[in-house]
Amino acid sequence: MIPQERNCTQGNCFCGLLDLKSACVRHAKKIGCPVRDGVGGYWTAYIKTGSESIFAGVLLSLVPNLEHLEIRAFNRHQNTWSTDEEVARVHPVRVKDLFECFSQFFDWVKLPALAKLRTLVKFSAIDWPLLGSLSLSKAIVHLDFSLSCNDYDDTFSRAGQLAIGLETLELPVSVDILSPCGQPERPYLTDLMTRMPGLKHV
Amino acid sequence: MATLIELPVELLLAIANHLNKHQPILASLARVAQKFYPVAQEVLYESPTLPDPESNQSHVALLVRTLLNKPSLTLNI
Repeated sequence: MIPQERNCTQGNCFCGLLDLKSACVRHAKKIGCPVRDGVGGYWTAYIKTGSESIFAGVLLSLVPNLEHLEIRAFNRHQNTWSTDEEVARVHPVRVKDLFECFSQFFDWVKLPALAKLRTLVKFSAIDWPLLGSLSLSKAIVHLDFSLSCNDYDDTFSRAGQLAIGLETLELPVSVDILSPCGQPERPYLTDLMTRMPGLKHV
Repeated sequence: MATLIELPVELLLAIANHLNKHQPILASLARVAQKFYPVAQEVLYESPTLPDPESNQSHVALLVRTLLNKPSLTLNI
């Protein structure tokens, strides 16, 4: 059991986060993810601060029966869920941001949340690791902003198996993507589609 | 006439499933009686909805803590 309320400070409550960090580290190791703790381990450091995105990552490693996943960014400045162009451009939500420890050594196919995932909605480009879900049958990708595809290049080589079961892909994109100037989304989308051999509906 | 607490678990589960969009009610139901707790909990964790993030408290962290404490709940989500 994880003890609670041990580190509570009035008005700025981080109850039990140190204990929670230990439990998260144990869980990460249990599913085959080497975690760097202590100096230089920023994943564990973020847990101690209560970082929402890190806990979202832990959550994805805890739900083996998940069938629907929607990833959106929360704009803390406007206090609202955002599809906002600026927020997405400055910091698109990437799976590897959720797992500092997972990004380099972890086999994404083993991520429990991908085991039975059937539908995926993402308000920025789909990370390649998410395409490791073999059960995925439908994906909706909102690309209505200028995407920096360089953010995704480093995961290309580790993509491994892709969503071979994916049959439906919805892409709400702006008309700019058809411009001959070459929007940054285009090479991403080209790669995306060539990696989906089972695709039937776009 | 049977009272709510006398109903079989299967019927209670069917009733709780009608409340799956009303998490606060399910949470209240879980606290009414020991018999209702596992029933409400099962439905509550099928599709948990968290409040919007706040500056001082991470609801995701609380959910993670609960799931790490009770791994059986992770199978419901």
